[in-house]
Amino acid sequence: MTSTAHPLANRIPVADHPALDVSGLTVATDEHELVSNLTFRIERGERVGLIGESGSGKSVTSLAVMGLLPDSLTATGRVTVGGDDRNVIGLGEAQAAKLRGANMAMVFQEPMTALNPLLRVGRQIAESMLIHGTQPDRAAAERRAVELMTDVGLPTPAETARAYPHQLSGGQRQRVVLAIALANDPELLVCDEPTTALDVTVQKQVLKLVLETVSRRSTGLLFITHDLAVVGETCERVLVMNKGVVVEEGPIDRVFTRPQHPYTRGLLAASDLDATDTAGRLFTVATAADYVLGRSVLRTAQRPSAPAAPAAPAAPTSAALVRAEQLTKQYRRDRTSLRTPAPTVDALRGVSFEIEAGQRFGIVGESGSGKSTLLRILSGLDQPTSGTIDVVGRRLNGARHADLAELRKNLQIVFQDPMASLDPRMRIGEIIAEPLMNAANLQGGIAVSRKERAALVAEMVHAVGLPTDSVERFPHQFSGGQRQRISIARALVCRPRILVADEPVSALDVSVRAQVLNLLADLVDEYELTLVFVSHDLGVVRHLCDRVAVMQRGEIVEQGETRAIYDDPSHPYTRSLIEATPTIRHTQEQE
Amino acid sequence: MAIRLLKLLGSFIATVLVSTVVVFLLLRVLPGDPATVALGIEATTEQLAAWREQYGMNTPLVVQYFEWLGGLLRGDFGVSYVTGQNISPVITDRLQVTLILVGLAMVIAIAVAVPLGTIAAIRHQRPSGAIISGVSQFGVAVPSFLVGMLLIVFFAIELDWLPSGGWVPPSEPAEFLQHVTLPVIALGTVQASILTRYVRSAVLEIQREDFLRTARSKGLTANVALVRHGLRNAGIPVLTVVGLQMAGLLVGAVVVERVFTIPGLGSYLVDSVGNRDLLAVQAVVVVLVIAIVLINFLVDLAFTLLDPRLRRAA
Repeated sequence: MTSTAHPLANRIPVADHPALDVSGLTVATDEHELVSNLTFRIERGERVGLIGESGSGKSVTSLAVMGLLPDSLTATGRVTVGGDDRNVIGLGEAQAAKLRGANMAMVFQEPMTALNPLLRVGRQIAESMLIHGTQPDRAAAERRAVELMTDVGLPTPAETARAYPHQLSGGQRQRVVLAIALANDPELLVCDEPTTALDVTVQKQVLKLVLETVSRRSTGLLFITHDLAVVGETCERVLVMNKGVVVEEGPIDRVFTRPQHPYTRGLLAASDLDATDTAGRLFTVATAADYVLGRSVLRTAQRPSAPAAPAAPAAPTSAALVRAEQLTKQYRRDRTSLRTPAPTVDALRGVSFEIEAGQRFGIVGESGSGKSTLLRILSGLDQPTSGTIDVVGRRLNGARHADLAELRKNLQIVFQDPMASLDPRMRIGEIIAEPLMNAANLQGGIAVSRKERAALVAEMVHAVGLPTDSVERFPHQFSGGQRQRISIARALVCRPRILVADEPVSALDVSVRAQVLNLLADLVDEYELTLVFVSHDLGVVRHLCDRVAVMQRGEIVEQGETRAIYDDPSHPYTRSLIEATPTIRHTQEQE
Repeated sequence: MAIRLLKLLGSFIATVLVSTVVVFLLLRVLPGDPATVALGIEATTEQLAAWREQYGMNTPLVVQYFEWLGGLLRGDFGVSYVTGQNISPVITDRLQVTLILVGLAMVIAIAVAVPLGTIAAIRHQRPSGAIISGVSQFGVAVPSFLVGMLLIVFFAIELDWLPSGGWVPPSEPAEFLQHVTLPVIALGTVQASILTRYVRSAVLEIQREDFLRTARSKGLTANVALVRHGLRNAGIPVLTVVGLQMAGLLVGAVVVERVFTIPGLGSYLVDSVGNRDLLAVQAVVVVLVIAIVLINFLVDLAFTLLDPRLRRAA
């Protein structure tokens, strides 16, 4: 790549000005401060991570730096970018816009919505250069856009430039957003959770690309994320933010191995899915004092109440609670051409597995692997095209509605997004009691009285660790982690034998994630549940599950005991998944 | 793209055909014998039979339907039982009048609503935005005939600038403009108020979109980003409303047509219903149905042109 804008930039390692200088930045709503008196610098070519959980003020910081704060927030302090000594705070929209995209640029979290759906991507990249006049005309800008698309590793850049966003995958769109950000060779690149919405293998590629790009161009990088492992693999220095205040900062190696602040220690402990306390539970921020950094303890190795998983091969067929044989599912897409027939999509291509009573069965796969389709079939929400599936001795394919009621009694689901999966107008007590209104859901088959229902609900509320008065409140009064507890209570209130959890912790902060995973593990033991746990996150599955099935393009490419598969994966796809998953252990062990 | 066009065209034709059957049958099952209406209650049985023979109403319903449909395809709506006039030329004249009224009213509505709605959205937390919002709310509540009467009182009677009613075809431009101004304003202001509210909410919605933030991060100011990237996206839901408004106005214009004594299609429909002029009613209703289905077809077509996601196989 040839850097036309600043031919000398790459050769001067330390310029006379930093890429970003923030001092005394305070951002507040009418009621309270979101960011308090924040001060930090990023030198040219330096990579700095800003870590925090939701509500820590990290995204607000990135918006303040970019001059993109909403009108409802007020900011004070000083932010300067690159060689321009104007203060971004209070600069005014017209002046700030001149800096944005030229001196500083940003990559956002959600690539699926970050591009204008009505314009070709090449034009959206070219627009960046036309706004700031770095290319003389549209034709030149569009030629340069194709070069930039080559730089960010998009295949067939000339054709891709003519594509609309919906024709590209998430990873490809994020590369386009990165090309937009790099178009004018900014001195500062702000990335706000740029890979959170991507699959791990794609995440690895995009992170590598960001790293290479900023090093080559000596761009300062402000990398904002909740994921400590990602920061560990991307940045040199890290700021840990909690409730609007930076509680700790320093080089990654030091912070990850010798954290000074209890909050940092708590985050590290909660992120480390390989470490457990003496009771075999994940560390949370509250219990992090006992966390010993870098000590590997495999939870599966010492689970106290481990069911007879090793003994299972003795009677492989009798105990199977779920048995799927050669499941296939085809979807027919709409016709797109007059000459060719309607295309079909093979969501599942011959999937077979068995889940025994008491097992914790993990299903791992990236988007498009077919895990959601499998889950829908398993829970009776969809029918397979061919193959058979039996759950607790009942054949699901071809089952009628009445038969499925029997299934719902035995199998309940916890969904991914706790913000969207609860009816906002129902009280928590009503939400949890709802499955009890359906007589078929009850083991005895008899609807219980109002009083008994209230008692069952109260018991579940207690079991998932929510305060007793929760039943009177509404979903919006709870945090994400608490809502996921509510979902779990709803799923367990009619005492199913199988609990299906579909990415139940992927929308949660790390410290909350550890709590919910501990809760799930406890409840599985207490209620003798069989757990089917679907996730894209290998670390979580590794911690929680005895057996795992790895899915790719509608097939199970590998399945077996979790530990065996992680220690010695036989399929290349499993290997690439494990390699692509960032861990903080990796960073700690480099020290 | 070709598939989508064929689908749209297919559903257009199917809808029109089904609606002709429905219209035909509905008017047959209504009480009231057209022969009696035409000849009066003193007519003898022989006279009634002869009348039915003359207008082809003694044949089975299926035959009557296909004769009528055949005429329809040739643009021949038949001869009115009541007036003895040929219906087709009347419909052509009346439709032209209504289309001009509705078309101009919608042009005014869009020209007013898009800028006002956008400003109301951008400034929704400031007084100017609130004022636009309030005025448009008021405009939605005022019926168009009342606006029409106020316009007549003020501009025709008090100031005597413009005629209070009547119609002159566009072949005489000066006279035409004088006559068309007040009714078009009466129709247009109400539609503009309704549309302003939809534009406002569409723009408010679009302002929250991530790609507008991307556009700003490239170096566009908030307002320029909204104009360049937001409005076309906001146009998609607004277009749906414009289509519905036009369809509604084809018949709804009748109120304003009455106030300004304009010979539009709606007035013809109301008159024909009053006269029990079965064939004329049938003709007007079918023309309206075709017009409305056509508007929907055009809106769908516009979506396809506007939104690349809808033309998957380009």
